[in-house]
Amino acid sequence: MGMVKEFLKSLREGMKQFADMVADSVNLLLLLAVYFVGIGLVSIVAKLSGKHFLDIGRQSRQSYWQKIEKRPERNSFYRMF
Amino acid sequence: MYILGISCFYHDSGACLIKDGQLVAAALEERFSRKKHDFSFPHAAIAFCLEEAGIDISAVDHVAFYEKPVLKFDRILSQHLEMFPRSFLPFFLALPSWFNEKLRLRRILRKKIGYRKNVLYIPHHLSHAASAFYVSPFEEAAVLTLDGAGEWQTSTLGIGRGQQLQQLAEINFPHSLGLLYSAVTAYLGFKVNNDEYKVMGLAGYGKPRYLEKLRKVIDVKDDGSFALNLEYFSFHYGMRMFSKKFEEEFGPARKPETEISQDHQDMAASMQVLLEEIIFKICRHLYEITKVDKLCFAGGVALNSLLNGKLFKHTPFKEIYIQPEAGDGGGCLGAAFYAYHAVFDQPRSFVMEHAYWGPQYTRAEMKQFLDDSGIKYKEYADENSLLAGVAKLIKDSFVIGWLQGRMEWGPRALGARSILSNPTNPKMQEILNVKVKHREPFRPFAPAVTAEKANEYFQGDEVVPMPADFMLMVYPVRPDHRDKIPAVTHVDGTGRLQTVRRKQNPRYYDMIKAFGELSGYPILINTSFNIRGEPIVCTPRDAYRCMMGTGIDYLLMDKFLIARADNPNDMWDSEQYAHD
Repeated sequence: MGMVKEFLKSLREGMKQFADMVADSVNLLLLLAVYFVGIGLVSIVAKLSGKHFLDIGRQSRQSYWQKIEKRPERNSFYRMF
Repeated sequence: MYILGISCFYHDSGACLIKDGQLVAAALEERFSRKKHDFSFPHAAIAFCLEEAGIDISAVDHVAFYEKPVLKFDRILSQHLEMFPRSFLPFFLALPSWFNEKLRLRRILRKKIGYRKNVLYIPHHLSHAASAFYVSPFEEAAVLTLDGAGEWQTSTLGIGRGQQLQQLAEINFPHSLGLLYSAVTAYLGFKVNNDEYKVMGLAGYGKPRYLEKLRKVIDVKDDGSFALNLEYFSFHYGMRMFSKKFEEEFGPARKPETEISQDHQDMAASMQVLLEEIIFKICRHLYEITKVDKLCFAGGVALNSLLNGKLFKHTPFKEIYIQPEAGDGGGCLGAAFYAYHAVFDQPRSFVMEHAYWGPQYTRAEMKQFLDDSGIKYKEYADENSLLAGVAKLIKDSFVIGWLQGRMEWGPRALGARSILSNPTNPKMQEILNVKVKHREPFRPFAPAVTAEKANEYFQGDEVVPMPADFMLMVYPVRPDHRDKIPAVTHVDGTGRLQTVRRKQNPRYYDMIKAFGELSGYPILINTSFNIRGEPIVCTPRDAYRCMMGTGIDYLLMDKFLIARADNPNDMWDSEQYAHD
């Protein structure tokens, strides 16, 4: 009985490791696809059209402070964005 | 109304609970999990807060989270879109955690603590601002927040009036003073989000020789606004903080744990001077636009005590408040108070005058732990014999572990989980470093002084402000006392003092006074009760374990005095854990 239990425990651990490996592989493939197809394509199109997502240019201004005119609405605090 | 504040998933996760606008409890998760800067969901900290209030999660009316996850994800995605394909590695390493937890807070709250009601998401810098203003004694104050980055904001100016807190101006990612300081921290071979205070300590040894060169990496205007020259940085797309160009300009980066040269010290000094210059400009501008002479300061940069100690001298501000956990861990506090005062429009009635909001242990619990563990101890019969006995031990240069009352909120040990020793012994710094802390010799130890005597020994502001109670101000030690308290006088003649008031912590205050009566100096060395690489101790067991693994001579818990020499030193060896 003990040996069977031990065998089942090892089998379960092996299966779990295998499942983790499969999950990692799928994640890797998905992330590759998202990065190179999703991020990559959008980024290339944006660069071609001169769109920037970050303020990385160094155009000197009189002040770098950006005024905040709008106050957040109460309902906005219930949103994650 | 109960509001549970939560901050997590970046660094230093924490939780707090407020009831009808009064703080009930607050703690960082690292103290329970024993993982330094633990950023995981703060299970244990939440459980402690609820237990302290004597409620379960069903009694919590609202949860307030310290940032807006989708807005932050928007910034992360923007970084990858802008920096493709250079952002490849961070994308692979960071993205899974966004989908598994950071964007699934509601699900995590439901599954892990059974919370199913509304969640409020307070923007990161608004949480910082609220964490200082709403618990300050000020009815009206200018509010400055500076850190690495929140969602998009890295710096904000604002004003608080009564229940209202308004942001007036912002600077957004990637332009960040916090990230600039962190980049120099990394360049000097220290850990980002962990070792910034080491750069502060190192600055005292250097001359600002690189100041003019450093100005190339940041464009600063008269109003203190700034823009980084991103050619010198890689934090917005890579795993390193600074780029090759930074090394071409300043020389090769220091490798961790290698020798620290004069160049490194000068670089640290230059960074500190530059930071101070910029923040003085920002503060002057903030005063100009608000015309209020009280300042609330929050965000990780507000933990720069060297800067804080000079603020009054260089800016028009006359009063200042900095909350003990001004960094990200304190975001939960701001989120909860913002929800209560600004979102639910409730009046203010709370001022955070001390930092003791963590767990405490009763005499009976301590005694049971000692008896169950077979630990030899003695119990002082009364307060006077305790004070006289321990003061004598400190005077004789023994190192005392001190666990009393509720644990501190924030990164500093303030007399609840502290190591105390004799500041008048010139060898004490070396003794502490060798026997206990295993830390770099250039880092100074902090003096704890009774508040009314602070000006006698330190050249501080005329009225020493409340942040000094939280060890957030560095002042010069008066020249005639420097050689009398050498163990707490830094190489540049300064000390990061903690002022102690009796109403905050009577036994700690009396201890300092008792030592003063013996030595002539009502000052103690107060350093955090931990070894390098571990969080500050929380429980009696943590404290005993720390003592037995180090050279701490005695541990005082409540009135129980435990001598290391009386107990078997077979608990563990701290040396193998002594790393950052």
